[in-house]
Amino acid sequence: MSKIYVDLSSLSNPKNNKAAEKADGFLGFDYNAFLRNTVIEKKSDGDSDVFLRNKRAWDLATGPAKTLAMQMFMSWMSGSSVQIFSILITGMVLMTPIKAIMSIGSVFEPLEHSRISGEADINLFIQKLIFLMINTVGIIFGLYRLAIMGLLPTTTSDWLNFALPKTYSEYSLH
Amino acid sequence: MIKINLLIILVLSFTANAIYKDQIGKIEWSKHLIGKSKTSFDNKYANDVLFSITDNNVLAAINTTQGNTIWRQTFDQEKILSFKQISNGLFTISGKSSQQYRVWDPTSGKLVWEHVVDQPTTSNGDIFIEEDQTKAVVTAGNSVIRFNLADGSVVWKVDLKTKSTTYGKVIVYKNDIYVLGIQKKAVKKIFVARLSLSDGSVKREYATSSKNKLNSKNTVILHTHTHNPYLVWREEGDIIWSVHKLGFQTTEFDIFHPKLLDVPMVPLDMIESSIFHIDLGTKNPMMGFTYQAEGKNKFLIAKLEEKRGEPTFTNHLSFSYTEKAHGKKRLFINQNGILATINVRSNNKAKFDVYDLLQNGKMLDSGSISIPQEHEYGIPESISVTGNSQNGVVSIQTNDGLTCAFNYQAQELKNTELKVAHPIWCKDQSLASSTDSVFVNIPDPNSNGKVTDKKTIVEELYGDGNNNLVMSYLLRVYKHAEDLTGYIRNNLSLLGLFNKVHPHTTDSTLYNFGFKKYVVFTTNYGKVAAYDTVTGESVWQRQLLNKKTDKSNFKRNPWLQINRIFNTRQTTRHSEAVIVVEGTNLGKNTVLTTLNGVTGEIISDYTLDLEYPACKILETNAVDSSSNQKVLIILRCDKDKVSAEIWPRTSTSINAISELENNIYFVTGETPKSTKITGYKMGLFKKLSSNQNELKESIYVSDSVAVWELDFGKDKYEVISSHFASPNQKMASIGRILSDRNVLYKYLNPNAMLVLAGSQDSSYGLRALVVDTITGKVLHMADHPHAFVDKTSSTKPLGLLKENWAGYYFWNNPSKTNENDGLEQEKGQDSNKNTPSTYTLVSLEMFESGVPNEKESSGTFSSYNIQRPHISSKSYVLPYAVTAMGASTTHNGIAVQSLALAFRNQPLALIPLTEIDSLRPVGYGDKTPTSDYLMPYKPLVIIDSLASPSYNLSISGVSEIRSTSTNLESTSLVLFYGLDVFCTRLSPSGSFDVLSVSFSKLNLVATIVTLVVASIVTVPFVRRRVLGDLWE
Repeated sequence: MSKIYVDLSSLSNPKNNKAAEKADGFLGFDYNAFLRNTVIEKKSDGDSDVFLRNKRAWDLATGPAKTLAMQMFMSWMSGSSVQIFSILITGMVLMTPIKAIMSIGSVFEPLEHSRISGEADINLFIQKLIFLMINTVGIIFGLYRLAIMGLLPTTTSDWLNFALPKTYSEYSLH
Repeated sequence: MIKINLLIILVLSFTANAIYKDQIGKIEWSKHLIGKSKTSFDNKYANDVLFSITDNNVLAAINTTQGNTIWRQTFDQEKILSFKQISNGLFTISGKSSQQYRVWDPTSGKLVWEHVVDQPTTSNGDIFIEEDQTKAVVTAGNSVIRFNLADGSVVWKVDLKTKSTTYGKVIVYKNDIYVLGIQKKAVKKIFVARLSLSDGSVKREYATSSKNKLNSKNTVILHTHTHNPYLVWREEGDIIWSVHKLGFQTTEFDIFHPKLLDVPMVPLDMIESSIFHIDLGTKNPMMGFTYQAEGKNKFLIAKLEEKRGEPTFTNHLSFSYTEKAHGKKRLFINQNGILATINVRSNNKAKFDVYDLLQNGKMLDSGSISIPQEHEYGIPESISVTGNSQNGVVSIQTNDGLTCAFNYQAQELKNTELKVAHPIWCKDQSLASSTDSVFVNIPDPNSNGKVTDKKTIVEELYGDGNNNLVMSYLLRVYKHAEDLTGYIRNNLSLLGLFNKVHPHTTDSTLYNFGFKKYVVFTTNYGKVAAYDTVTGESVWQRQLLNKKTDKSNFKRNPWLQINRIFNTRQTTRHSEAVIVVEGTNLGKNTVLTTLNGVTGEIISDYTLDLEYPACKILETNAVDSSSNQKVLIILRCDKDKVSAEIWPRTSTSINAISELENNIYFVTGETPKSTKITGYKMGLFKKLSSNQNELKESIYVSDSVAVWELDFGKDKYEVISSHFASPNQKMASIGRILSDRNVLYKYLNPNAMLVLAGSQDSSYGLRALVVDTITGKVLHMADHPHAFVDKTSSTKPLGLLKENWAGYYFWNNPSKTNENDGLEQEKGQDSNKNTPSTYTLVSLEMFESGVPNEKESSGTFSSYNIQRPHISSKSYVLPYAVTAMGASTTHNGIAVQSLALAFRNQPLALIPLTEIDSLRPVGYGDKTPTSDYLMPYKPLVIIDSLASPSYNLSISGVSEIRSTSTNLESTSLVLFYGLDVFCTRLSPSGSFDVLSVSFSKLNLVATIVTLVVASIVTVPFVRRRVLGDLWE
């Protein structure tokens, strides 16, 4: 006898929903209808799905700002000298926004397109822009960290080894 | 940048140069020398101790049975004028600008007491010990002093007022003192001052009629405590003896020879004879007389007696020899009355005889000796003897500083047989007279210690492209493979599996890392000698003789006077190193001798008497393709022109030189005491003749044109020393990185020269100049009016130039200037009265600009275009007087370099150049560019004596420091020499490219093996797991 699991905790996770849909023995089960009829009751306009998705998108867009503040504090704590701890933190400061920017599509994708059929897609351009800007600030902060740690080749001394030696036009012998 | 800073800080934390106890003698070696003995005297109170005063101004006590130096005292430039053994020690007079009277303990060499008189000395001085042995009367300069010998207290001191007289002999007889000197008048005469013993008051002063010097071989002052002193002399070329009774102005006797000495002689032999005083403790004075008669060399001792108021001499003892030339040096009488003579028979064969004068000249022993010849030692020259009428030791010294000792024993001698004596020890002191040195690479022992024409597989495939990266890598792999096979073969040979094995006598890593080289010294005695840099053992020695002088005629200096040595070819796999030695022969002409640097063989094809005196030899980097040697340019300075010649005299060397596009410049007059430096541009080389020379090649000459002149004479200055940067130096970076990570570009002018000039007519006033040798532009000048510039003393200024860094050292005495010089400095002291005198080191660095990141835009450096450099300088105070200064050299110039210093009477020291950096920041308000890894400026350089490379060894008299790189970037070979020789390997920035002692290769191998085994063992498990995963 096969057992059926419905993972209710994963309702907000579209990935798991899909898995649930495809689960053995549930092929004919209309999950969305089930949700509509049983779980989610009719909401007011203020609680509409679009509104909630928008709100959620704004949360996502401004989320990095909170972590950025935290990272700044950690960076300040770790100091500007080149040590294993400060390098780790700087790496984190730099890599987190880069990763976030790379995954910008997948972060906002489930909010742009509703999982509930019939609900309209929404335009999250502003939120994405804000998300991008905040993460860019994160990258700039990361670069600033690198700069104050002296790890950016921005000064003459960093290129000194590539300077060509002089040739001499006269020879003095002794 | 910060990373680099941290790295440097990390590196600096390891720069302690002290060595571990178990490393002693493994990375360094030293030779403690005293130099060639000038005069010796035996110890009255010990049978086997000989005191010696050497050419290097060292007073030493030598154990003649063991050959070791018991103690030594270095007097530096302060010449030892006289010495006497007294009951509680050795009395010496030494000095130059001041008179030093010292008594030394004869067993330990420690100072018993000292009395210094701030008055100059002359070249003579004398000590007379009074009969009761409690007091001594001495003379030096113009002073006559009576000392209490026990504590050095002065009984009285008088300064003889008679001007232009130098005193050099003092005799006490009864209540009178006779001080003898030479009057410096048109006719120099021996001058006598008669003083009262009780208070030193001058009783009488007069000149004798003797025109001789006091130490002339024709003059003798005969005296004993109980006999009125006599002056006996013979004028040069004269055959009549004159005798003068001291104290009696009119009492002079002219005595014909036969009347004086009962020896039949022809006048010619008479002129060649010499006389000297002998003290055998007898009542009457004795005189030694060496002469030739009937073709034989003879020696006579005569006794002086007064008969009816007239001096008469009676023969006491006489010997005869077969040798022709014979001097006082070949005869020695010790304080026990033992006389030893040496009779040189051939180049290295000699015979010694020992007589007891107290037994009426009984011959005690005689022996035939031969000087070891493996290192081409010179001929026996002098003899000394310690011992008594029973037994003792005869020490024989050659003219090039080798001393060999032989035992003697009183025995009944048969005339017919001559005993062959074997040396009990031999000691070579010639290294104490080194004039120059050069490092020579030696062949790899893997090629059986010899160079080969055989090409390696890699070379056959890729040719000799040493600059090719792939080629270098393959060569390296090949070499490692070769090493490995050699190692395996060597170890297997122990099991008898292979018969033919290269003898690996030395650790091959010493060769691979370039630690094992030869250092070739040249000495004052015409010697060229190679020593191993790892063991300090002598490898080969050659004596370069005057070609026209036969060794057998026993000339005093039968060798070339060697000036400089050049390394014109380094050892490669296919050729051995070549060195060229520049020497001057008796005719004052320059002789160039080319030697194989590895074997010491003279290459006669490239050895030539130039038949003119070369005023300078220039070293170039151009390589003559036919001889594969560096080309040298020989300068001939005539009155009105300077011409140049090329060495080797081949047409291929002219091709090599022409690559320098005729832009060759040089200077003359940069040598000490010169007042004018002249810069020349060399003209085109033209063919002089096409035949009739020994090298069967054409001579090419060039006339040079004077381009500039720097005249110090106008300002009353003269050159003390000039310093050039090494032509082959490598540097890692062309700029200095500042704390804000900007760059100050180094002013890298290979044609710069540091000149230290001192005041001509004063002991104070130093001028330091950095001069561009192409244009004569003065790039930097600094005057130090309080600097002491005695050009010959051990406190003379020193200089060094390296890359864009110049450093110079001097003794700064602010209480004195050149205006109020020397003894008469009464005025002008007020402002500087409280300023202490310091040993000052000025460190200056030249930059292209004082503005960070600003550099000369042109990629080609021409002295005609460049602006004056920006100079940054700081003065530092050293705790001790410096006698030599040098800098470490590493392979690529990456490691932070060190300044090597030899202090007077202190251990050797290394100071990282960062510690005397010119950019060290002065306080927080300092806005000048600085580097953030530098410590804030503090003038005093602290020397950690525990970190001395010479640990607790006493290395004395170092006058030169040379350094060469090894194949390890961290490690530098540094050689200190002068009197002592000390050679060591140093890591000025820590041994960052060497595995630490605690590194376990076994652990590394074991770990790798474990990992490999583990990966192999776990393969089936991993496979099973992967399969299991797939099934699931």
